[in-house]
Amino acid sequence: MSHLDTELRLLNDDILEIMYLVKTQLEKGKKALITFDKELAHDIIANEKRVDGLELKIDRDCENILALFNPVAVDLRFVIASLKINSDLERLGDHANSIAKYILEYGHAIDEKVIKKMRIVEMYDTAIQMLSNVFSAYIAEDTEKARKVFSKDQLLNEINQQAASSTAKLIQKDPKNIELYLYLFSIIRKLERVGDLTKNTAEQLVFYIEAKVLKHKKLNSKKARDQEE
Amino acid sequence: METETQKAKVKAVETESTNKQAKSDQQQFKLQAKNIDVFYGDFQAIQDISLDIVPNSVTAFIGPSGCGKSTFLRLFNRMNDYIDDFKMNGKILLDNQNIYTPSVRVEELRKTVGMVFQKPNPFPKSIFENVAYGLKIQGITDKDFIEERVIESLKQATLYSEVKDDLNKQALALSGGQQQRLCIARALAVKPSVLLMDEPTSALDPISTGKIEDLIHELKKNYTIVIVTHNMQQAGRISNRTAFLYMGKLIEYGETEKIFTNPEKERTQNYITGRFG
Amino acid sequence: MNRAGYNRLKDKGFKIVGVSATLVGLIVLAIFIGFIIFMGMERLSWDFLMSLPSRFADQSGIYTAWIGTVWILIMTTLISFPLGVGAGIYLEEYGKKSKLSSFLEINIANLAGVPSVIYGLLGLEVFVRIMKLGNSILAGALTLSLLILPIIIVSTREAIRAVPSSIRDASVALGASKWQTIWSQILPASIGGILTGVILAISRAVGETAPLIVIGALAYVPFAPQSPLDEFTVLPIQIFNWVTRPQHEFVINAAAAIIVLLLITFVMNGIAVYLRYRWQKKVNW
Repeated sequence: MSHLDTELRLLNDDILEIMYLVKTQLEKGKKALITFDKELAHDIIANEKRVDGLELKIDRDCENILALFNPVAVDLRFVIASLKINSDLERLGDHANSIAKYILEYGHAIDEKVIKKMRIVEMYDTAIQMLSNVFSAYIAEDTEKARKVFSKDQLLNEINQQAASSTAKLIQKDPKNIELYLYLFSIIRKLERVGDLTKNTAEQLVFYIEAKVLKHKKLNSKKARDQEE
Repeated sequence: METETQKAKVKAVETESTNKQAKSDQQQFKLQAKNIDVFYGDFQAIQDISLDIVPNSVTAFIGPSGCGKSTFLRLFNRMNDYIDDFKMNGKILLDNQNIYTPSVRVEELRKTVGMVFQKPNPFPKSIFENVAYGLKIQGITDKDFIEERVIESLKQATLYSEVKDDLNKQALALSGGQQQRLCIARALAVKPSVLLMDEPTSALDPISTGKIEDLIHELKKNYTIVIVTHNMQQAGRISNRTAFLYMGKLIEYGETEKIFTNPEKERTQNYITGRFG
Repeated sequence: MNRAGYNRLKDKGFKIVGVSATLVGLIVLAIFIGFIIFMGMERLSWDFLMSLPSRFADQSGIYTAWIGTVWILIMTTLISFPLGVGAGIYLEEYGKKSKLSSFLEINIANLAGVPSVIYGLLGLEVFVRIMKLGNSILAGALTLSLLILPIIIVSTREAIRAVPSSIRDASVALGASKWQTIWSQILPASIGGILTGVILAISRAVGETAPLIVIGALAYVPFAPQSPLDEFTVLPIQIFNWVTRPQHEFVINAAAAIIVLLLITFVMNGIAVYLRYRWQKKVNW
């Protein structure tokens, strides 16, 4: 294995690590929310430092690889994709961190029924599933698996679009708990962003493997194009 | 009175430990150049260069043609001694010993500090004889020992698998890249601790260049390698530290990553980005 | 006509001139050799080779002459080879480049052009008289050695210079001393050129007449030399002697002797060419 291959391998491992880290952050977040586990919430906030540190390391390593090795073709796409994935995942981690902060700020246990009613559990499950898919797609370099993520993101968008009106209805019915509903509404917004960022990561994977640029495309025309090819 | 002697004792211990610290700092460096000036007659080729070479790593010298990199490299194995009006000020230390004192035997020095040249220069003899030469001139006659060492060196230079069927083949019949790897094996056979390489791949095709770069990457685990290259990208790929020389002066010297991502001197940046030289 | 046509004409013209010059040289040489062979061929016989010279042409042979030539050949080689090659190595490898050394180089080359008779005079005074060697083979060999020494020195230096400095660098960088480098790398690589020069120089010595006459090689030597201090004669002198006799038979003898001398010369040159070919194969820079 050449020097460059070694460096790319290490970069790959680091990307997988940050992916795994933020997935764990999300999973912990879901649990902390449902069971109101303050310690778990603190744990998430503490781990944010690890995510940030890893993001800085990956950025620096990408810069060095570009400067020292002038990679081309798939190697170049890999490094560029890694830079973007790195940035997206760090922001994903930020969102998980914010949710943990909301849990602590609100400070009370929340009825699981409410959480389910607002479809937050659904969102969490979908988001975590998406991250798992991207993770295994990344390891297997399987772009088919990566593409599955796009349709799942639809669900999150859907829930998000209805969130404003359904939350408003809930507040009208139960004005005492407006604070709770506001927090939960914010969490919905965050989870939608999480879904977007995960979708971006999937797009970068397809870019680096197939050199196809999928971002900014709508799903239907994408399907049509794929069928054409 | 007692406090005086106690103070003196404390001071003695302190100075000893700072001396030890200074020594161990120095001992970290395999080669050191201190305030080197080089003159060819009236022409000053090197101006006041000081730098330290870290052991078991690759240090690259880069810079435009004629900036003195090869001259500087050759100071470390005293190859400049053969040039008629060569004059040098300053010190060159190998493992903390000045190599330009009269008590140093140049032949012994060159067994520790080996060299590979720009154009592959195998002797017009067989592959075996080429690699064995360095051992034979030391007076070694044990045939088994020589054979073992020759094979080991050829393996280290990743050439063995390509030539093992006929080690008596004429060296000049090999391809350019193979010849250069033979020269590397020849230099390794005497078990030097330092390997000086003067643009070792500039006469070779890209595939051979790649093979030799991989080889250098392996060798640096056990050898201190100093390489002159006019190919900056090569310095980026294989070196740990890089020195940028310009018109006989040392402009910048540091970790290769730093030089290539964020050099301190503008002149370095201009050279690296290809804006001059 | 246009430029291109004019150039083509010049090309053709030059070719014709070159071919003619070569042919002229070859034809003249062929005529001479043919003439000699024609004249002397019949006289060649085992008798001729083994007989001593005598007043009678048909009894005269070249025994003492070619033995003398062989003696001179061997002695000259023994003396001039180590001296000349050694001096060449010393001057080329150990000499410092200075005004003195360039001066020396020019003068050594000039010595090769000094008329050989002058060497004869030098040899007469120094070897025959001062060193009291008499008119011996040793004196003759020493004189001829002096004559061909410059040629050997120059060709040795040229041969050593032809070895690329990269070989020197490689050897020295491995820790070899100067002498080791010379012995193990430079000499083996340049030996072809050195030998060629040596053999050509000696071939010349074989044909020298004037210096040997001056130091006293005799024309009439009725015995074969037994030691280096004996008196002697050589083929060129014998030939010269016979050619000056009035009897036509002696001229024929001379022709036959010339054939023998030519054969010796061709053989020497042939060896030189062969050696050069063999060593050139190995050493392909």
